[in-house]
Amino acid sequence: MKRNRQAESSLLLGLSDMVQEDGALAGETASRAAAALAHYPGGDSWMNVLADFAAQGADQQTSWCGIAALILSGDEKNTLLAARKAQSCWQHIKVSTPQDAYIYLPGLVLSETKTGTRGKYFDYLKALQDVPAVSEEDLALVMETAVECMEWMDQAVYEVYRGFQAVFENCLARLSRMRGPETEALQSDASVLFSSCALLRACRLGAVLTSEYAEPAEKTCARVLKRADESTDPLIYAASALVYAEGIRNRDYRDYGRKNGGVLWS
Amino acid sequence: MELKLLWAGMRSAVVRLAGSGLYHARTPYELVLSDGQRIRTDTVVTSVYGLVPGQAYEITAYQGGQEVGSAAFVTGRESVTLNVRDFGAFGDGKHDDTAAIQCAIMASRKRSRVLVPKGVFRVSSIFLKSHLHLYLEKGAVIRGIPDRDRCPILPGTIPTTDGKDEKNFGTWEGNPLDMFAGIITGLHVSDVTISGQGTIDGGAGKNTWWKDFRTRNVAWRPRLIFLEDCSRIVLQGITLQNSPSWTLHPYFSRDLQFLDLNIHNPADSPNTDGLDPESCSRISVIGTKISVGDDCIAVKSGKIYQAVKYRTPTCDMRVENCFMQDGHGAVTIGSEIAAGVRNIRVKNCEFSNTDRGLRVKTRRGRGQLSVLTDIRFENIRMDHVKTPLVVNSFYFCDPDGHSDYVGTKRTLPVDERTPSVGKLIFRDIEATGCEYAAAWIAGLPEKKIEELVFDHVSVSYAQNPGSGQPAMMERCGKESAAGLIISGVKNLTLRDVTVNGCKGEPLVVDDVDSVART
Repeated sequence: MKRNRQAESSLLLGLSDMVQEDGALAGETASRAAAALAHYPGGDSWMNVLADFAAQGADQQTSWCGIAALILSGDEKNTLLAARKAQSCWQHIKVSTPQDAYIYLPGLVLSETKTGTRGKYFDYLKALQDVPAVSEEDLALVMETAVECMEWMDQAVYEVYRGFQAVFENCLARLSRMRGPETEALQSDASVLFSSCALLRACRLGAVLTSEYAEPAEKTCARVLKRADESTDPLIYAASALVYAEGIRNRDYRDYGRKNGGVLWS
Repeated sequence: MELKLLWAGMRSAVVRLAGSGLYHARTPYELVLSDGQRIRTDTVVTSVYGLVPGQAYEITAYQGGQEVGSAAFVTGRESVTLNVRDFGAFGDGKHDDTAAIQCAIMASRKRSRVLVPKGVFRVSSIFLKSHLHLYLEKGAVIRGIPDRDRCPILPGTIPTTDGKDEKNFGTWEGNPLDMFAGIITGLHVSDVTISGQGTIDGGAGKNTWWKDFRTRNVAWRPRLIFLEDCSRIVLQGITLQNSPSWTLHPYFSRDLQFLDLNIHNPADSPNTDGLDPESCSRISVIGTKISVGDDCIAVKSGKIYQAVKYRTPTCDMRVENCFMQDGHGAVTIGSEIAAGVRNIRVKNCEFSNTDRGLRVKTRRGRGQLSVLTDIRFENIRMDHVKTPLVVNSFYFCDPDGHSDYVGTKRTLPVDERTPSVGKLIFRDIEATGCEYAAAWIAGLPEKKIEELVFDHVSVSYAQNPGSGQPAMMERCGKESAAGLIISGVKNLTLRDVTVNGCKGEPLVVDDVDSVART
């Protein structure tokens, strides 16, 4: 996927509006998209959007997580705030749906990586393993949650890292069995976007072969991305931005290898 | 006393005068060869050089003018010597000689010798091939170029084409992670000998490989010598130094001999273990001197992911007549031992000035396949080793090492993540100049150490013993001249154990099911 500055401007406007929204899944998705693009040239505007999400997350202590945005905005004070919020969230929330998992778990993993002892990774993995996922949308959300957790955790706790990867692989296998040319028209936009994003990210992490999965994932989500501008569903709009961001990173990784876009753990 | 041949190559051989000492001979002696060579030596294990291929030799040892032993051997046949300079290597310490040396290696055939003559040969990564004899002449140095851009990468895992499995190439601290290829790398090779009086130098320094050493920068740091899935490998006589990370790392390999080596890294260099056999079998380490910035020898078998996947313990290893100096542990089992370790014999060795002498380290999370058993340490002399004997089941390693799960002394449920320590025997151990504690033994409350035997163990302390942590675990306070501090053991046997000059009780036990003392 190549950078399209015009499309980005349009996406940027749409995501900025979403900061005021109270749809947790859409907002969380939007904040992750902003985080992915904030580090690119000309990403200052995306960083501003991310900072707005972080401020929103700081204000709303319990009703909306925003942990990931707080940390990814890069401010040390925000990172500590996120860590405190993560601890209090974890005691009270129940991760019982794929939506809960996507909203909370990657942010919790990120917080553990930045400020914790890494001891809670195992609990977060178990929480994801226990989430029931039946529909295509569920499986796509769980896939994306799993690879985000992989990206944001300390890879050296390797058995947990591969535990998340196993969740991703399981969902991929089940989704592949459910899908085919005859079911293409019936696939929901959300499931297409989240699963494509998960596959592109998994390619970049080396969890699946780029040669096998990257281009099919881009082709699959292309039809949805074409009409994303006209969508009235904030979740679709946010997920489109996320796939776009991940597509750019995947392209960089394919073109420039591990030194640019490849995931570095440190 | 008995003079025994340990190994004979094409141009060199290794002998041992058994009964003359541990690493250092109690009295220097002379070796006389049938070709007229006379070698004066003060080590129990000695290499002889300048031999002619395909020749029969007799070698006799004399001590104080008396013959004390003799042996006979025949050197291996050699068809041709391939001098790397003939393949374009400069050896001037300036040019990159990687391609030339690699060319010479690839050109070699069975029974040919690839010769690295005197000079400094800069390389990025050299790859071995089967049936290779690489010989480093005295004054020859193969030196690594510390430049990431020139180093190939061994990927941690690559999914197979059908997506059902994966192939593993690189590894870091027991996990299949991307790493730079070693200065010398062997991948699936057999029948390789690297011998001589020369040096392999990793070229590492504080501004290069040892800078920001905890960070993965593109990939994890290379080893000096990495051997993956290799068999029948002999390393003899050479010096290994300034390694970027672990020095000599055989991985899923077997039938390995490391004879009369000199392994040296600065005491403050990070993760520069001397020898780390990982998931290997039938290993002999004889007459080797190791002085490094981490554990001298650390026996490993990976972390839990690799253990569950490959189920390959390290087993059948002997360490004899070696000298460990400086470093964290002299001989360590662990901490990445998730696939288990068994049948390890360490005997007739000398340790000096290491933090710990004989050390077992593990932790919760290594898994139920992590079973250590049949491990014996015999006839060891330690001097100025801060804590001679350590078994630590709460080792706070890895990113989650300081979590409550790893460090808590509460009894946790035994599950698939709980490791086991079986039988450990410490026999005929003498430690002088000890500082922190004679022994620090800490087993898990939920899975105690099965059996611990101290048999003829004697410990005495330095005149002004320092104070420090005997073991790397949470809530292990500083000790000074403490005795044997033992917890979490099922059966403890103490036979002829003396602790002279400790402060406080010579034996402190807690949560030990049975203690037998004679």
